[in-house]
Amino acid sequence: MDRHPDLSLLASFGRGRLSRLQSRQIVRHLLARCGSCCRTLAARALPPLRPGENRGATPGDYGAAFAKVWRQTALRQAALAAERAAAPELLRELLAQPADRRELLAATSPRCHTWAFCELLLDAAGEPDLQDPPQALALARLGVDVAGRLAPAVYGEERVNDLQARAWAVLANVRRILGDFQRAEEGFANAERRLKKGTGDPLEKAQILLLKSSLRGNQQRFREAFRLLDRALAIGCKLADEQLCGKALLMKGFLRREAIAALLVFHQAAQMESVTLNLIHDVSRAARGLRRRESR
Amino acid sequence: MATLDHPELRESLNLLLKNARPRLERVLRNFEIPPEDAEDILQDAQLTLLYKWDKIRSPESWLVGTMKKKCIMYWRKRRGSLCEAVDTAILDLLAVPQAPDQERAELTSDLNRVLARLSSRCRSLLKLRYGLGYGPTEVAEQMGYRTSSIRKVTNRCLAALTRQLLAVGFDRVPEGDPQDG
Repeated sequence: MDRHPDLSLLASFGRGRLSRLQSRQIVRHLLARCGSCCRTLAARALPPLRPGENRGATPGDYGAAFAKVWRQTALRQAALAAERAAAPELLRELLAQPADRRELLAATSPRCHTWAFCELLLDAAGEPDLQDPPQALALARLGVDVAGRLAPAVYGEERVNDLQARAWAVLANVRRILGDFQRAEEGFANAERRLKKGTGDPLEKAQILLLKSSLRGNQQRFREAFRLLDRALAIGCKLADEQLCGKALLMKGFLRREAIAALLVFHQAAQMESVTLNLIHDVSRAARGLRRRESR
Repeated sequence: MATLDHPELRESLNLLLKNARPRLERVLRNFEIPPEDAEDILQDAQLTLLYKWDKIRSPESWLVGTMKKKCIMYWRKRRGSLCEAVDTAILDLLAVPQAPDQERAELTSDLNRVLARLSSRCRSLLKLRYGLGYGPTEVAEQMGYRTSSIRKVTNRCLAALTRQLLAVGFDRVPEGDPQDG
């Protein structure tokens, strides 16, 4: 290629969208050290070395993108609100059925295959004060099943993977509570596999780390548990999520074997600015438990 | 945090998106995201926020952090496509049957000049790939890498090659060298 390729051709090459013949011609041209084409292509197809560094790329006008996304979000928001309004009634209907019918209904009824219903199942199965573990296990299993049936075309493939990861983590946690550590381990492995294909949301990851640290605690693998909690704590700090930080600190307190150190961690957790009453309640309950354990 | 079913909370999501807009625009501008691709990144981040609204305690920090991450991923993907295109094109150029000797010599010399600016590890790896036509498994064996990690190493070297190939546009070219092709 003796002549310079035109701008649109260079742009398509930068996105890997040219035919092999055209790509070959452009690379040959670049190998011959064409400064102007290299500059043009580098500014359009390579990331800035440091964000904000000006390489002569034209600053974009994002107004149209914001307007379009705003409209799309509003539409989805309305659909999600409708799903959320319908979900509690659907759960009541499902729970009124015998156990074997529930699974069939959840598998076959498209009304059940919504994001909101799946979240509701998982929230119910993951209640912190678990009174009925077998019921929680049934709900968590349904949650995994429903999460596997959500339409990626509607909710987005990566978001569905996130929810599937959450569902597997909730199921694994219920199995841990029931003492089935082997299957809990498998559940967390499934959750992590799905999370890798997800949106990369650190909050989702932190929740799984918190649940997994409980398993490690039960297995007496404290060093690993603390490492997981430190990672969750780091994510919480980065996202300015004090609730998450509080939970991670609380878990650390639970796992500390020395009473003084644990109480200090609990104290730190309770001092987080935006902790909820639930968390404060958890902290004081944990501290009471710890004192009892020490006095014995 | 209460749910989106309440109209006032729907309002709070809208308000957040409105308030966060200047920060989001700054992120897009800092990462030099082309406007035609900004829509996908924005939509993805905002829809994820919408679906996870009840779980997110600090939505604005979450949204800005997510946007930054998505911008990094965007460039990683684009760089990947570019590296792949460069790699395939070089392999094709070297494989062209019966190319005239002079043309082939010029190509080898141009390629060697770019390779010379890479680290010795990448230079050796790419010389095996381009010069001797080795496949990934053979390269791994020859260089003592595990087969499972050779893809990652090769990708890093291809990224370095692509950067060097395009870096000529930013370098001061020695006197007498042709600047334009």
